[in-house]
Amino acid sequence: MTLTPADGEPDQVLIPAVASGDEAAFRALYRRHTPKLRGLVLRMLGGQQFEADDVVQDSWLRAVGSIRQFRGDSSFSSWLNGIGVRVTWEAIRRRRPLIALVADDEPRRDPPDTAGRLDLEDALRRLPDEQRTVVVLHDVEGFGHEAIAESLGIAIGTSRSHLSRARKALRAMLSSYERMAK
Amino acid sequence: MNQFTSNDDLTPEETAAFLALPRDVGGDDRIAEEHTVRALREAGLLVASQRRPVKRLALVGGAIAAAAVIFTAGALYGRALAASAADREASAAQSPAIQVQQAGTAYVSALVRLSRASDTERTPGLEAGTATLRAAATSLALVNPNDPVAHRIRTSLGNDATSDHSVIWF
Repeated sequence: MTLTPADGEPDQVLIPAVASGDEAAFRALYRRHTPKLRGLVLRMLGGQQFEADDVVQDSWLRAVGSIRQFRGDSSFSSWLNGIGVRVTWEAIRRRRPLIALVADDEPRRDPPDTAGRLDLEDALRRLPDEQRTVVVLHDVEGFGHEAIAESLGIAIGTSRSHLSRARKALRAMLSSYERMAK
Repeated sequence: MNQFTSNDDLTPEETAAFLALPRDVGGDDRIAEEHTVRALREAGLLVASQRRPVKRLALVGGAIAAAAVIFTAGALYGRALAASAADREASAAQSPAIQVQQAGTAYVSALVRLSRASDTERTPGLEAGTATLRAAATSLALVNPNDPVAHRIRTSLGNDATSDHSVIWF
């Protein structure tokens, strides 16, 4: 990957340049913030790589389209990830009919891996979309219930409920696989 | 004991397990970046870099200018070489009579300047002028042994065999 002079510029310099359509500035901003955005999106989506690539691209399109609205009240990374959360949630809501055969509240019962063990990342992938989304935002990313509710367009109580169920499901899955491993 | 307990709040171990999850995930960054840039261009949110055409134009212009400079410099150098060669040829072709005339003019001019010089400069200059005149008369006698002017100069300045060796050439 070729480095450009813009790669060393701070976000405060790059953001107005991107707003003016500066491609080099955008590439610098993209390279700086995409790994974290992709990590968040990929985890929310349950590890679907191709879907994550589309969501990351859509998130950037939306972010650049509204970059003049970025006031700098938070870091650019937080602002971008907020957009990423909304775009990911929209993608999850769109795909729900395709996976309706799986009950929303039940963890997916995929067979254990060959080692007979399950790590936290695997367990997160097996959670229902809503539970995984909330637990990722709350316990991995550190969002509060109010912010989660606002980002996803759900009630705060719903967010709390999803989190509680997600934690119970994670504990159950990890305990189960731990017993299997013994 | 599993890292997740039955309590609803996270234990320190559970919190640590979440914190230990990697936050940055790389993918095929180059391809994804190009797709995103293309999509942004198509949406009119990014302007295709203007630097490249400008840079390309500048490179072409620079190359043309450099070629012109090299060509001009080469032409001038060639012309200078030709002129220098012509000068050398002209100098070589110059007749001995003209060379004697030019040398005589220079000699007389130097003597005029010597007449205006200080006494300290005049004495060695006079010796050099006399020796040159004697040598010139001797050389002239070789050209024409019967030349009366050369004869009188050699007679008046003395015609010893070592006189030629006293000429100081600058």
